Amino acid sequence: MMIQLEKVSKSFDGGKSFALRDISLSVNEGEFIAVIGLSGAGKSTFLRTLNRSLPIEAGKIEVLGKKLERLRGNELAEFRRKIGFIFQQFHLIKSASVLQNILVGRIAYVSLWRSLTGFFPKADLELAKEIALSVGLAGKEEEKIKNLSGGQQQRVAIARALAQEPKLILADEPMASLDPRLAELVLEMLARCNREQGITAIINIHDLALAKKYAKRVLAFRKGTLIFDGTPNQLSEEKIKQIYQLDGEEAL
Amino acid sequence: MKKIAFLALFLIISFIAAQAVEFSFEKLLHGAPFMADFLHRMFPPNWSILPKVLRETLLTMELAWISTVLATILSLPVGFLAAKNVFELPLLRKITIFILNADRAIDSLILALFFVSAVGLGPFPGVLALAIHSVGMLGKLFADAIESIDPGPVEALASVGAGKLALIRWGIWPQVAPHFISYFLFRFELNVRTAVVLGLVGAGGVGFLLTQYMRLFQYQEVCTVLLVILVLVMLVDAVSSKLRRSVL
Repeated sequence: MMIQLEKVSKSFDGGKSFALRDISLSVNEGEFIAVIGLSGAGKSTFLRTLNRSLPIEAGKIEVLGKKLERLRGNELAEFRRKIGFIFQQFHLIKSASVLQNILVGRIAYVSLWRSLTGFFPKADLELAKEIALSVGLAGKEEEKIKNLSGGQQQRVAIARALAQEPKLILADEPMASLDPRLAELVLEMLARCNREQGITAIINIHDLALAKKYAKRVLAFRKGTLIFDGTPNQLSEEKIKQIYQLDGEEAL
Repeated sequence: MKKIAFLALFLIISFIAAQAVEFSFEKLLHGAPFMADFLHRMFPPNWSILPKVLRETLLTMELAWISTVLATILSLPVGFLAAKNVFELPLLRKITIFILNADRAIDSLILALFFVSAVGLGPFPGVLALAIHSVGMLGKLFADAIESIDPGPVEALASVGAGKLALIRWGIWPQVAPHFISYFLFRFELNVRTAVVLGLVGAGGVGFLLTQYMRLFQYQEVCTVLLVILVLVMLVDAVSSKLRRSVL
């Protein structure tokens, strides 16, 4: 089992309202999952509890065989280096080169002085170059991030995640700041990593059509509650309406 | 109504202050001929002492440079401690901020008087005074720069499992370094001016030369020194602001 959540809750205001409420689910190795829901439904919070960026308040959460509540220091670093996280806004080092940014994915694998000087072992350099090639950034290795387009930047972010040699990739709306053609390219790329390397992937997607097209399993959140967990085919019209209904629309 | 009250308050305070400092147009008018005489005796400047003045000017600039370098080195850890988004040590942060505020409140001239009596006359007490006073401003500016970074790269670094130092090195440093260089140059500009003044209290350099000529009533030499100071300050400001524009 890759991920196991048992009655997980998370609140940002001491229990007055819930960002996540009583979430229970499990994920097997190799799954490709889309998470859908309105913005503010808890999708981002959900992803961030999985790599312990956010601590939970109640329940049990186990990822990659680790109980997250107790992870600290070195153990936490060793846990996180196996999980690639891809952000909507890429979150790259803008003044650094493509290769340097990909190598960031190796930071938790090298000694302190290497991590501070940026002197990575030869094997890591080879790996980074190989990954740059595989995501279509050949010839761009020395280019500074600020000179790249949005689509190219997101490829660097994916490459950084792949450089971690991850068991799990979490992606928080990775296509939201890209135009539709590039958005599909990014999803295609993640689907390929899942297919060819068996990396488990959980992706927050605002766009329902894309979620249905790529994912074999869909999770839907509404106001912090998991209201759907199944295959795209099981998503009924009624369910979709419930997922995407805006507040106050019930009355109309 | 409120505006009138403020205006009245402003006028009353100004009146009391003017009384206290014995402000008088009469005295100003009375002193005018002496000032004219003073200016008259300053010209023409004595250019024969120029090599000596330039030597002392170089010392003043060296004093300003080394104190700015020292201040920057001290301000780096201080800045990171004073920023609320790096270490979660609220008590240490509050203490650091308090020390920075206190430091800014004590002028470098006062610090210089203290250090002159501690380590004797010469440029060294000047360096100590300028360096320590500069930390008050640089530490605060560094902390502000650190607090206004884009938190994204930091989150990304944390997500790959980077330790605190690597997180600072790659998540924060690339974003703040250009600002730090700019603040270093700006503080150097200020320190050049202050270093001249510090010479007056015995810290050496071109300011010290100026007091010597004043005491000996050598006004033509005073004039040379003043002109050199003017050119120096303008030159440093121009070069530094050009450099600052190019790093940001």
